[in-house]
Amino acid sequence: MKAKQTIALLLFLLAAGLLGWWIAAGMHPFTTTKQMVPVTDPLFGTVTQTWVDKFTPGLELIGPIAAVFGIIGFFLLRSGRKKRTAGTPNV
Amino acid sequence: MLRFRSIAMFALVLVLGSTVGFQAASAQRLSVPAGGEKLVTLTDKVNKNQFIWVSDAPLESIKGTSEGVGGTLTMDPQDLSTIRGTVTTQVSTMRTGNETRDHHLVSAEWLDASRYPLITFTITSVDNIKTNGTTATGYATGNFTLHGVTKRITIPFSLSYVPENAQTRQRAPGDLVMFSADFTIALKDFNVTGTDGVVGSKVGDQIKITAHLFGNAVPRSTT
Repeated sequence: MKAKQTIALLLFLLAAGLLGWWIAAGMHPFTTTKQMVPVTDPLFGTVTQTWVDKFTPGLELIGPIAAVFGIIGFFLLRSGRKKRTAGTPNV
Repeated sequence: MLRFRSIAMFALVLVLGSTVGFQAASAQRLSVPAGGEKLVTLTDKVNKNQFIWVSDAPLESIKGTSEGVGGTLTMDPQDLSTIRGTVTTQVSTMRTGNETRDHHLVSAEWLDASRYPLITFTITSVDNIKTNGTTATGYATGNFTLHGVTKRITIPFSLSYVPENAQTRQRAPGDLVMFSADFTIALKDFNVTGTDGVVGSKVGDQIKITAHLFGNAVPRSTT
């Protein structure tokens, strides 16, 4: 029984962590794997952009994963409670 | 007496006219050694030629680049109103940082790179030039072609000219020129409608574009 609760708690924490990561990364709707970085030309003083590899999670990726973790956690908690209620003796 | 007045008046008009004319001419002139007409070839040897664009949609601001830039321009540093030429960029080089989105961008529903591989701007006139030493600003008018549709637009630009020296020779032969421009286009003007209802919601209708163009200028007679 306790194991289910622990797993549910872990799943909730993971979902919250993923959402926190998404918020910290700028709350982008779509995932990007590259990011623009400004580069200044010393001769002209112009700022051009160069692409560097950087993974930024988007809601289209984080949302479903967090939702699945949340739903599984919810059902684990619920089933644990039901069993506990069913197993409680009537006084 | 009347005749003297007429002559004096004529002389005054002549002096004023030539002063205004001289100022207009010098306003279009860069402070660089005279060298006649130059051929400017856009090349990444000088610096990365690049268009940076931003699509401000309600859902997301998408930033991207287009780097397959080429083209040649002719210009006389002593008369910048003579700038003419064509700048192109390859649609297939557009990047947004998201590979799926990049594929959508060049697909038939959007910019259709297979049918319309190039975006071009052909300069037909340049005016409102203001110079300051080796830099200048002005307005370039020309034909902008995107997605097979050509529109006449005017783009404000700035220019920086660096006469050949030891530092410039490390990049490319001849003088170096940099053009910068900021302008906006509407996708609907060029029949880019995307998937139904997407322009104006997921993708902004107005696209802000910043161009950074670099080239080396050599006397036209030597080419």
